[in-house]
Amino acid sequence: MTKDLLNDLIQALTILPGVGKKSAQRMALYLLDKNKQGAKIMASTLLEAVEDISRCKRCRMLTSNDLCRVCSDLSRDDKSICIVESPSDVLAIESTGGYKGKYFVLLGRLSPIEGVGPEELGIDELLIIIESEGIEELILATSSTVEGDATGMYIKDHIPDIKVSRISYGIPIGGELEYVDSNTIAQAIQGRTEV
Amino acid sequence: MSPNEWEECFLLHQRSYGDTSIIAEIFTRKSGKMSVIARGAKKPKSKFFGYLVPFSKLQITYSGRSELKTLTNIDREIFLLDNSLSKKSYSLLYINELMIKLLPKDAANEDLFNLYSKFIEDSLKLLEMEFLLRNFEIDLLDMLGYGINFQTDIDAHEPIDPSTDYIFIAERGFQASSKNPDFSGQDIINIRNRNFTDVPSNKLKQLTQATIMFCLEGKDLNSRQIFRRLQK
Repeated sequence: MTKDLLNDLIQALTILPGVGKKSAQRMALYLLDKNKQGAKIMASTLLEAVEDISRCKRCRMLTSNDLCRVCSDLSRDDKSICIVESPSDVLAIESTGGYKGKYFVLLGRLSPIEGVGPEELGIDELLIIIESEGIEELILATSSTVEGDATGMYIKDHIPDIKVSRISYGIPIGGELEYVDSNTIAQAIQGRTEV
Repeated sequence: MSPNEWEECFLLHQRSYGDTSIIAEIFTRKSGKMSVIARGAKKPKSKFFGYLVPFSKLQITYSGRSELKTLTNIDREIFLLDNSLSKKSYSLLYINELMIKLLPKDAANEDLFNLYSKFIEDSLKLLEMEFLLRNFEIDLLDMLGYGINFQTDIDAHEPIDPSTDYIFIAERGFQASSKNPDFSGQDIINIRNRNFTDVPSNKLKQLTQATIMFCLEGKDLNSRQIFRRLQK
């Protein structure tokens, strides 16, 4: 039987999120027909990334070095840690440029039903970092769900007496009150700030 | 239930399905526990967005004949959870794991729905969850047919005597025994009357835990293992 490489490529592309067979077909044809050079660069980068990128030894962010860009940046505030659930949360906060401390990525949140406990979230590693680096402030940026709350609470319960805060919830910028759900409005009123 | 009829429910657990959909385990007033799929629920413009959270009383309509129903409409009756970070979230996660693991599918039980609904409402008002949890566990076991017999002992079927000591055997009940007793007769009577203040709280907890473990065929609940570390 002859090998059907085109079909293999289309199949391989469908593993991407949001990519069905039709989109995969379009991508494959584009790469082969219109941008062979780009395809070569993509293939080699992908291979290199898969082989070289692993978790940052300190914060569990994805990186190709021992320490990620944030952890090795000496200009950042090394007494503050922001706790997030996934690497994409780090990218989201970094894109705002409003936070100058460091991070810790839990790679999930406590979920008893799914069997995700503190070991899976690396909470012991986090506690060691807090102790050994003399961390002074923790910012909990876990999601606004019961699991997110329990995760935050669990961390708070296990750390020595340092400042712990939680990101606030409220009205999106440019949002009109009438379209915001009532619970978010209630939260926003509770967490109002003086002007 | 005919399709498109509104039904009251609570969400017990949800997980992602594909890129944008959610499969939710829900507990409904009229049809018991079931699974529904909410297509596209993770897209910010979806009509389901933000609604599929535990501990808020929802109104839904669904369709489909297979075991997995399709969610067609959703509305929130009341949002019962306050968002302040507290240890309550542990208890709430525990209760939902209990409901998921203990409740049979499709077994409608309106009393049980009212019990769960009241538990969630009360948990908001109270600071101390211990007695609320024990009351819920005892009532839940009763309603599921695993009720503990607080009236008589298991050998002679004599009424529990306040001055006798007893041991507790999970699947059966209380047995008179002076050797390493778990409870005094007075403790048992106090529990029966839901007067928990005079009963040693660890004993009370062991009683419901042993019975729940028996119902789960010896398996422990994950939430208990996770949160046990905290109580030490």
